[in-house]
Amino acid sequence: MAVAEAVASSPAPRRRRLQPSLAAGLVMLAVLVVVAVAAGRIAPYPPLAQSFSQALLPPSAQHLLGTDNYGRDVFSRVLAATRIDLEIGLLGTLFPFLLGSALGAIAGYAGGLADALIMRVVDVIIAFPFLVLVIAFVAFVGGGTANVVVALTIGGWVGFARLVRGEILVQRQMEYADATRLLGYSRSRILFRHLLPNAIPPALVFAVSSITLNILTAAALGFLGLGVSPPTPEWGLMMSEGETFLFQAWWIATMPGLACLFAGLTFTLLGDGASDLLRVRGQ
Amino acid sequence: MKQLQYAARRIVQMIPVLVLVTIVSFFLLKLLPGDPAAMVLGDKASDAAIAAFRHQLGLDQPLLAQYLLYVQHLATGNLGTSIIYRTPVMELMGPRAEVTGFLVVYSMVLGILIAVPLAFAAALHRDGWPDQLVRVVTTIPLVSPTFWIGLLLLLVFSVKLHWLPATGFGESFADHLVHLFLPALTLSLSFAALLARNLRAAILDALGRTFVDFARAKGLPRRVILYRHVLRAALVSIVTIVGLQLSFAIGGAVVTETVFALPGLGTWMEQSIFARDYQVVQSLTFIFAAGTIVINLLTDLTYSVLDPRVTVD
Amino acid sequence: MRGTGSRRVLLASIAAVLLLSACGGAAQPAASTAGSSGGKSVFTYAVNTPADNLDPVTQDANADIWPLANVYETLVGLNQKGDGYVPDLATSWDTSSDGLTWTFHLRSGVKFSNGQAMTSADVVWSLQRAHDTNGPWQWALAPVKSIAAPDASTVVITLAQPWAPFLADVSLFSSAIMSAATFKSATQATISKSPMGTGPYYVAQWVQGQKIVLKANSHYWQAGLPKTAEVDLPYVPDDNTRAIQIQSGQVDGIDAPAFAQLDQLRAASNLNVLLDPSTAVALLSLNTKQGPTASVQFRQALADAIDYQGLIKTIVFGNAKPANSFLPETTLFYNASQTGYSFDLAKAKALFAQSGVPAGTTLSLLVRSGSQVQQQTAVELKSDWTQLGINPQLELLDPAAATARYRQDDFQVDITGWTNDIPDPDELTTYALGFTQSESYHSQYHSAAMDALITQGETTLDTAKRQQIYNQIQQMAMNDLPIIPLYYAPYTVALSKKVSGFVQMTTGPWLFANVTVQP
Repeated sequence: MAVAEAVASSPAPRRRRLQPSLAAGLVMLAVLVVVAVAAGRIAPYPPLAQSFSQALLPPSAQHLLGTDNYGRDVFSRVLAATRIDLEIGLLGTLFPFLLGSALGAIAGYAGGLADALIMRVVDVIIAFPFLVLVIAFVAFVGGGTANVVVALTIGGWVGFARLVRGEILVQRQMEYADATRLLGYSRSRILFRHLLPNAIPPALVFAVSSITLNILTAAALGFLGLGVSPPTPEWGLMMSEGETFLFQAWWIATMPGLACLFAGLTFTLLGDGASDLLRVRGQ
Repeated sequence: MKQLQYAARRIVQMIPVLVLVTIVSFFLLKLLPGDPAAMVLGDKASDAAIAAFRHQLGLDQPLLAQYLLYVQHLATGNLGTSIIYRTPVMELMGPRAEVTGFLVVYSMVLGILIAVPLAFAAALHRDGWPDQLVRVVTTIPLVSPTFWIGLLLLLVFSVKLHWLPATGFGESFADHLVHLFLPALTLSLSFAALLARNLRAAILDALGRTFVDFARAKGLPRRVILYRHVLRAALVSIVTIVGLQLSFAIGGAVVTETVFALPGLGTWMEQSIFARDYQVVQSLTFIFAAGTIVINLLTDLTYSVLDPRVTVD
Repeated sequence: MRGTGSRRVLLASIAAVLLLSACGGAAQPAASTAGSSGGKSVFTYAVNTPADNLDPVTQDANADIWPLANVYETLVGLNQKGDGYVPDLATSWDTSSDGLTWTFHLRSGVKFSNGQAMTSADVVWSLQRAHDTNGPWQWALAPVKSIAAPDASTVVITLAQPWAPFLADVSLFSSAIMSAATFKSATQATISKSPMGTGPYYVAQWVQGQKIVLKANSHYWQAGLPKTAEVDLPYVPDDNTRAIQIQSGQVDGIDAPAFAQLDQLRAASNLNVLLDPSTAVALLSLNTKQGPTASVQFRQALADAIDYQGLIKTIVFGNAKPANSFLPETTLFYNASQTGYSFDLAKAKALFAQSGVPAGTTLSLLVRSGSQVQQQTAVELKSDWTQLGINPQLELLDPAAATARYRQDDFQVDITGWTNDIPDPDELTTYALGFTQSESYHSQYHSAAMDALITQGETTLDTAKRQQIYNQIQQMAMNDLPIIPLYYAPYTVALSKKVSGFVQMTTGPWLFANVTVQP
């Protein structure tokens, strides 16, 4: 088979309608963004308003998602927490994704010394259990959104680097890569136009899982008391506060969990759709 | 042969990485505010008593001297003595490692058993109802906090239904399987979901790739294509995610072990960091590090065995 | 002692009989006297904090103290209510008219759990060690000049000065009687890990960070005790898990069920929930040297701005009384008519205006991660104090980092607490207000007038006069306010209805000797 034909025979872009799941994801994302921006105007109560007489009330017309042990409205707090959790989830994924993909691609494509160097750093970081690394970092520099994001980046980029490097290694061997090389494309064109687009989808699928994973890591930090300081509304912290009351007031921990679920579902749908699109375009 | 050479080279490369790990873990810990002597002796201890205890532990020595002593001990297989428990780390570690090891392996087995059929069902019925169902089902564990799932499982299966014991490790292998079922299931769900998704993508990827097309063009039966190429691609995916997951497992184990009151390495590590039990944290970090590096090496070697297109050099 | 530890920080645990790296416990025959009541032979009681040092002299945690009372005994015991003394290893004692010489007559026939007889030599060695060891309890025998044994069943202690709390100090666990023969040449590690005393139980197995197994001491001097052959103390840090374990019958009792869960546990038909009177008091320590809290009016304004009832409702679900003194109610010479602070925002605002502290000042609250009680208290205080016109901020730190800050006096408000170990007020007064032991909870409060009163309280033997002195101390503490007392909460315990005979002292220790569990 001729080289040109080999290139041509890679699957042609299929024209597709907007997938329903992607559409749903976009709608849900719009909801999240609106809530994140306008929580203060939508929420029926201020998220920090306490009231002893209103403590531990189950969901009702007055308090849609019930109240917590301080008598705070859980619905208002779930809404108010959206912004901070999206911030942590998105930034805590974006930075590791960019850093890890770039370094992973370089390592996989360049090989040699660059590969050895990058992968040794990866080995050192990956050698520390993720949560342990994050805990140690946050314990050292203190909690708060920015520090949690930095901690997630330090601990998280290595996963992307390994994944992308592995994919690049595979892609490098594929016939169409040989073909592009024979066609005289430049190294950077081969890497960025041909190899990377094919290596990215698995990383993107992983990134989408990571957004939620990072929200959950932030939750774990809140759970261990190392994340955002109370009484700031944050889903993870709310769940850890509600854990004490799981048996008699299940809604306190459950509702932020459901909000997490909603956000996670959003990014999963988006990620699935996006990865399909990317795969089609890349090949 | 080539793979053996490669393995040998990687093992040699481990040494500088491990040295780096000891340096980072040692100095990072010492940078953290907090003093194990103050934690052991309590708030009532006088400054003099704390100073005396620090001297006894050698914590008043220059950092470099402490580091060299630690490395020297490590080189001779001496993991030191827990400051909190006044007991050799080695002695404390055995039973805890057994719990965590059992838990992690158990959860991986459960995870693979759950994920593989789901992923194949989804991929082979792409965009059909099995695919949508798997997509929804695998979302739930990925977006729920581990402790929350664990507690719900406990509530339902132990408290309400009395099917399984609430906590504990049990005394025999069969006992372990029963006692650790809920914790292993809790730990496995997010792993299974991640794996199922990745596996689905990998299978689709493999199905769509040119080499599959080539194979199809050569007139191989569809079944052979599936087995030879897709299964191979799937195994690469499993190996990758298992390799990744192992380094996450110890973190996940912290939460899971806490909820199910399991005396494993995860909770021990957490406790040791919070109490600044330097020896324990350093030793555990080193062991995790060495273990992870070996796992990564095995992952890479498995790649090259599974996928001849990957060269190991 | 000062409350430390948080449930999440420490290791998980459970009965894991296979996994033993057992420590301590000399090999002993199983007790034949125990278990004769026809009950179950094992009582399992899940605890929320693990012991880490079982040496009565050097340990410093309730988790160590509370089980130890079943292993070690003292010459003088406390009554259960915690306001009087009863004979224990000494059957009687006399004091000279000047109060300087105390003669203790030892009980005959007392044996250590290894079968060796207890003599006055053991008492002298034990008390001398407690006196000489630089540890958290050294204050207890500080006034002792000499300890001597004129014969095998008599011990004479001479004091340097008359010492009112002396009997209390002899009843303190650090004055426990240990076997000289066993421990004389033992290392500290051995003493910490392998306790051996005259109590109803001995430590048969201790898997550190996981569980303690106590077995009946067959040589115990009280006939018929202990009633149950074995007591297991698994460490289960998670409140929910402990609650599940007791509800599913996996354990016979749990320590410290969360206040939030009491109603649910009460509703279970097979459980009893105990609220045992305690010597616990929840406290705030305020930095009297640095920051806004250096102003006494500001400190008083903070105390007046706290909604105590609201705090009690939120933290302990109403199961506590507001504190009117830094002394727990169950302490000797506690002054019930001492005026405490109560929620009065107008008064608080007036004091705040007088204090010269600018409006909007940031006030930092030190919170240890993992402690729900501290966290909840801090959230309540933030809400209360915001109304004062200041800006309270929670500073969430992991326990070791928080401890370092506390010890360096680098904090503004610390949330803390206390449980008495002796009924006498001297222990807490010295610790909280006397500067030398803890820089007065690191508030750095140091007052010559207070120091003089404390010394008077220690050296005045007349009870009525002591009452007056401690009234003055309590008054002065509330005026100067280095620490704000918040509330007195009871101990919580949940037991299966099959369990009887369980006792928790007001000072905290669990007494298992009379426990029986119906099969």
